[in-house]
Amino acid sequence: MRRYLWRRIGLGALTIVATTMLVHLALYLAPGDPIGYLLNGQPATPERIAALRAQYNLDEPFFTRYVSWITGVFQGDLGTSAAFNADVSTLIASRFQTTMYLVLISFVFISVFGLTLGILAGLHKGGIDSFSMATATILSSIPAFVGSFILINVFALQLGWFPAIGGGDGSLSSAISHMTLPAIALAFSAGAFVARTTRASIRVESASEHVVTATVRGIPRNKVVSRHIVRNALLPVISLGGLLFVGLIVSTAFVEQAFAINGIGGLLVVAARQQDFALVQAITLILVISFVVVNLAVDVLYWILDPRIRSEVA
Amino acid sequence: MKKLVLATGSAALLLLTACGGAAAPESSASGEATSSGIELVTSTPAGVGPVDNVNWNLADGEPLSLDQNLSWSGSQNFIGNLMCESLLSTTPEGGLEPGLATDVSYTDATTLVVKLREGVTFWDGSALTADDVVYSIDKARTNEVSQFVGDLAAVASVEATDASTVTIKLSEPNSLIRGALSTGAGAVVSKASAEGNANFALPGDTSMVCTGPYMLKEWTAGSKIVVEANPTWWNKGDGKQLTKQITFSFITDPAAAVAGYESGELDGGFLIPASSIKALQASTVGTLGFGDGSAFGAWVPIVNTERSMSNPKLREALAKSLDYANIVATETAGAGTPAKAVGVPGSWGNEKAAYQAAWDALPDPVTDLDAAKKLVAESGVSNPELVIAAWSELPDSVNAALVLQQAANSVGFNATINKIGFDRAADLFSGAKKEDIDIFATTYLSFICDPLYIYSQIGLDAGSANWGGYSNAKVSELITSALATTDDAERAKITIEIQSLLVADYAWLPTTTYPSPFFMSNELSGAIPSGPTHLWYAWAVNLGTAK
Amino acid sequence: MSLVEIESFTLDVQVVEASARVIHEVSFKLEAGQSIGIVGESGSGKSLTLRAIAGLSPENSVVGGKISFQGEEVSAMDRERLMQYRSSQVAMIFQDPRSAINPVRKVGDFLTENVVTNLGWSKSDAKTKAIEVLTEVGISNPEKQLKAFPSELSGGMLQRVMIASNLLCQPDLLLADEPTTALDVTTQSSVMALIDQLRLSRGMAMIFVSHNLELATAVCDKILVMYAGRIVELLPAENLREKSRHPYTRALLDARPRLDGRQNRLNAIPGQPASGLEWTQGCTFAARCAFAQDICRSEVPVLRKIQESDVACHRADEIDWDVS
Repeated sequence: MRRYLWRRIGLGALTIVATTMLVHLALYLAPGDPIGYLLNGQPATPERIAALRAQYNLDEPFFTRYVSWITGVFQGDLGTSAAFNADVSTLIASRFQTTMYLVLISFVFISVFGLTLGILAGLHKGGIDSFSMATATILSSIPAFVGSFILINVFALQLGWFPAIGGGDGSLSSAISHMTLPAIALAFSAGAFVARTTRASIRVESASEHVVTATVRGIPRNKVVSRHIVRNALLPVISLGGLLFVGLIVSTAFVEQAFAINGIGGLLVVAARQQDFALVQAITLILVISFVVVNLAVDVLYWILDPRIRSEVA
Repeated sequence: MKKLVLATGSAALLLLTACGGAAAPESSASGEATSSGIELVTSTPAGVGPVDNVNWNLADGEPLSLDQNLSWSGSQNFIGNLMCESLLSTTPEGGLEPGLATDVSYTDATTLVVKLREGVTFWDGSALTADDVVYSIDKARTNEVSQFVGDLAAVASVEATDASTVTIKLSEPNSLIRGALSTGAGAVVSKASAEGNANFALPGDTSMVCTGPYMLKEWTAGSKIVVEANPTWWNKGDGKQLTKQITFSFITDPAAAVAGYESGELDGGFLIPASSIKALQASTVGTLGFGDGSAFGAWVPIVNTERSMSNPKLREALAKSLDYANIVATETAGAGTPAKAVGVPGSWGNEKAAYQAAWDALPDPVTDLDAAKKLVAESGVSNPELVIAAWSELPDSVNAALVLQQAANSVGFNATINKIGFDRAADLFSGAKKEDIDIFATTYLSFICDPLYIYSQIGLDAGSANWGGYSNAKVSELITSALATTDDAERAKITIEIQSLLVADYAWLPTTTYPSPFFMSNELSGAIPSGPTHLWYAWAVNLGTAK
Repeated sequence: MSLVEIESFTLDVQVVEASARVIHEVSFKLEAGQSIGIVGESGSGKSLTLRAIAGLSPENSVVGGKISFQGEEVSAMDRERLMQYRSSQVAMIFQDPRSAINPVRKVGDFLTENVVTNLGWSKSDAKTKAIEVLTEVGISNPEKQLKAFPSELSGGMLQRVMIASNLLCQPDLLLADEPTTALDVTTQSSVMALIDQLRLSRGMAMIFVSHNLELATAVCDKILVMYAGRIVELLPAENLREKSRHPYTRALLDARPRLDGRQNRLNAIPGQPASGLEWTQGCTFAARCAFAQDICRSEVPVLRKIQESDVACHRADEIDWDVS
């Protein structure tokens, strides 16, 4: 287990270095000059431009820039955002919490909605199956902006159950009330994806020989379902969860905009548009670290839940 | 003067508006009603009761600085004017009143004397001195990124004569300087808080100190700016500062902002995008209104080349090909009126009667395709080329260009569209010679409510908005004399003459006035929505409950 | 009353729009303690018949006829009774224990699931008993193996676990579906010997499905030969080699592998094995039968008694097999 874990951690670190370097390179090679954004279209003397270039290391060669950035990162300094004139760590900290709330709450909806529909459809053929899958398909085909619009209009404006916009004041209770609607909007397509995957997995598991064994040994159907079908069928869904989690963080951008939430997704869009090197880098770093950490967690979970992996690694 | 406003956060062309039109002081409405029946307002009735907090949205995005001097960076003046007062104060109708100065007068053609109000203190407790005023004006005219460098170009020196008197010397006569001191150019900051402060007024920083009715309490970069009532404000009194705190948000997404207004999470906002107007007009929780003002839209022809727009007949032909009613409907949601000239009624801060008479005498902008075709034929150029510039990233700009292209082609032009990126902004909005385009659109807001302001900018060879290279010796001469005329009535007379020459020359092709849409909860009242007053005057000082 | 009595058992499966019969009129009886080997090629219906006895039939299928256990019709059992029947009266051993045992649950869970869930045993009782039966089936260090996962055990070990699990509830009937086919050759015979020994010592009846005639003959009292969904011959195991009469049975005997062979592909019989689906009329084996005559192609032969065998062949009494 320890060797397995170390190997995974090593791979994760490599992923982080490679990805940040790639993003650095992409920003370095991107057309356009961030100086334009730094000046915000205002006229400037060559001296001022030179000073800005020096302040943001714009004239350094690629490798020097990367090294100075990563050195800063190890010292806890993510740099200064040119667009916001603020410390990147400060900018990101509260937004990261907001986005995490959003993603986690969305994750709950995805799990509940996706697993319920998927399990129902997988276990029952005919009407329930068709209904569940049709529901999933319809929900996943609603564009996020339409979904957001409907949710806001019905549950915030008409019924007044939830706030229409904003991310709350940072407390858990306000996060839950503010994030419920955006989390649902975010959950639609991922939830449908989980539902379909779960359904397929349940079907495969239902037809497996060990389920026949359990049935022929007289195990009641509900126990066969819970112990032998669902339990086994969820394993592949869990590995999907890791990928989904990171995908969710990235796709928060739109929902954050629609619900006027200050989160990482929206920040990344602004940062990329304004070629705010430090900010893009820092957000990328966070995304990659989330990716690595979540996948590591999934691997460990798999290790715990699926003895087959253990035998294989051993 | 404001040029085209490019929103940095949202790819939207947002507009500001200008000085209020003619209105009785007691009344909130300007008395003008547009053809669509929309009533324009200059102010809303003063609030009557206290409010703990108002959430106000500025759809132009978060400012890059709260320093009123800096070029437009998204909304900073709406917040800045609540905190940093100017020497003179702009009334909702565009007139000038004493502000931090009790009096600003020309002692001769090149000298202004500013008498400071006694007993005014900054919110850190220190007294307002002539030194602070000198520092602030010098900052506004010398800082290379100040938006007022042009407006204050005639200022040669600013000196403190004594503790409460400042003397401004001009290098040449300029009758608009007094008006400029009512804008952000005359906004006073505490020298102690600004000098040598690298973070002054920048995101997250709250070290800025001014004298106004609201103080900077919090700036969470990327999220919100909070101001709170200044308990030691020199001008405090009944019915003022009823709102204890204002929290500004910068929601640029139109749908999200509408949801915020409708749900009550936002109490109001300026810069309502055109796409949200219909939805908000139907709102039951608040009212969408249109502030009167000095803003207008126009096509700017490039006249200093050998190309088609150098020919006045072709400019006239193009003006007659425009569908004014359609432009008013699509660009201003029907709230505007076709503009006869660029010195629109909202920019008349003085001598309203004279300007009104002159305005009435101007021909109405009408679509006359036959006359336009005839003009093209008379021009001597067959199938003249017309390259229309459009901002590739702004769909509205591309649409407007398409409409013009169609109109131009229908009267005999060979019109094409050249889509350009924002990197051309500096080139377009300067006197630089432009050989690859013939015309581009702008939305313009007079910072000062005096028509001479816009006419001097587009009529002088070196005028700061003379982007098309217009040159007319007679016009230049008249403008120079108007700038030397400090008497309002005299100046108005000359300005009206300038106006008729520029109209006859089709120097610019004005299309419509641009009232500024705003939204306010029905619980509230007191906001001043007319432009440019809402930029320079503490627009929320009377904001309170409606009942 | 026989332990198992099958009368005119038929099975129809829905294929696309139409339904097709895959098992035709299968009837036989099994007395308590007795063992029957059902042999035949793939598709002969032997596994379907076996599973039907446990009350299992494929989706979209219709069962006809009667299958009774101790005089009680299986298809008439209600849910509860069926579970009781499955949990305590019949037991089944599958071909591939690795797929027949839930891979993510511990061996101990598998062993005791039935008795704890259905028979109300306490966990500790079940564990003690489980250790006993594991020892009985020859698994060393049983306490440790209870905590192991299936993936940690070899195929032979797993099949012993499977067998052990069936001993816990003391069933009357053991259904063994090719229990050694998936195992490697060296463990095949020891596992089979174990099954045989445990069955005899406990007096369980057994239905043993195999395509290995040799094996079936060794552990069964009777041999039932199926071809294309029908019984073609039923006879005492000891008579198989010398007294079987059906041309198919004889062909199987000729085609049976040498003892060291691993798989019995029955390649020696010309033609492809047929399934019940393909039958149109006459004797299903006629197409591959060297003795087929017109009658074989037009009339379905019924089982008839010839000496100690029941044979379904028009010409069974005409052919004289030389069995030297």
